[in-house]
Amino acid sequence: MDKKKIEKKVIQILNKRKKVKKNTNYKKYYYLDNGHIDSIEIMNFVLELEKVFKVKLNNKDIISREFRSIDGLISVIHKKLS
Amino acid sequence: MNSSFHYTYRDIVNALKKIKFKKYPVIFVTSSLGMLGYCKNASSNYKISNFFFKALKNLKKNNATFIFPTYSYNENIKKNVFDLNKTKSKLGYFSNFILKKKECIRSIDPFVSVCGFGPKINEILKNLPNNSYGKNCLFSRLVDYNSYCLNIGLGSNWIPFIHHLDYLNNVDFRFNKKFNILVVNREKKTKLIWNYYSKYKKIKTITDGYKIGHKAEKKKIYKSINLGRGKIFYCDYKKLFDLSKKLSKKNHRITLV
Repeated sequence: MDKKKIEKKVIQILNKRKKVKKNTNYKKYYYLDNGHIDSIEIMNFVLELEKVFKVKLNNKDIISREFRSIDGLISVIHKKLS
Repeated sequence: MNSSFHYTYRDIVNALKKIKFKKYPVIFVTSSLGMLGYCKNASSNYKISNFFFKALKNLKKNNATFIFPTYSYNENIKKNVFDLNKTKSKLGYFSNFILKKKECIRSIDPFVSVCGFGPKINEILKNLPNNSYGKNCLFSRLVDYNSYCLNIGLGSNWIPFIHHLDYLNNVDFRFNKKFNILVVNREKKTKLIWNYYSKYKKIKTITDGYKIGHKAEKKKIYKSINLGRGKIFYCDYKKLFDLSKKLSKKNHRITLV
């Protein structure tokens, strides 16, 4: 799956929780630090990512810096898929 | 919520028991409980939070004092009112759950307040200065106790004193800003001038504790215990503080992405 497709799906999953503004700079949008997802809701989010992309996200992935931004999250999933 | 689970209440208690604290520890607890997966018999945020609170209270038998961040980051609010009983924490469900606990005392800080309980809590929060960082602030006081960082579900990157460190290093991306604050504690209202080490709006920076956190892991200052799908990271506060001071002295921007 290419990064564009991953991005589209990630945004869809995030939008279910809270709408991501259209002109958001993904590289600089740290959705976890900005409270886009509550710390307790995060597990539902992770499980949905795993189900949609058919990947396994381990603790190292989840607590990584990359995981905190949309752009980074796309890269984490892309690496898992390739 | 999913019917399968990743850990139980007993697992939380057992994980916390594995950590060896010194006498009268002061434990700075940060959390992202969802990172650990689903907890058995905890089908709501309230129940999960209650399990952790109960498990931590069990440690109180060791005369532990607990401190939880309940930051409200008042910076962009035009009307600067800090109500000790009503101002919500911006750090998520668990921190607001803690704020409702009767045994917990909240510090007066319109930006980075904390809330806690235990034998040392009054002493630690008493007569804090009107500045969030710098001399005699909470983050500086904790160095003088048997303090620990306990990051439940969060990684080693969560460093409680990261902006205090920036303040000590007089960094070029933050500045001292004065705020007129009205502090409300039930019927009592007090006007204060509060000093906060604000970010420059024009300089886009993102705070990052990963570089220091990874070094602290390598030096075995930060250790971890598995719980559910995630981990509990813990360390001696002073050791982490000393390492951070040393690292940031060489590179003031180590606290940024």
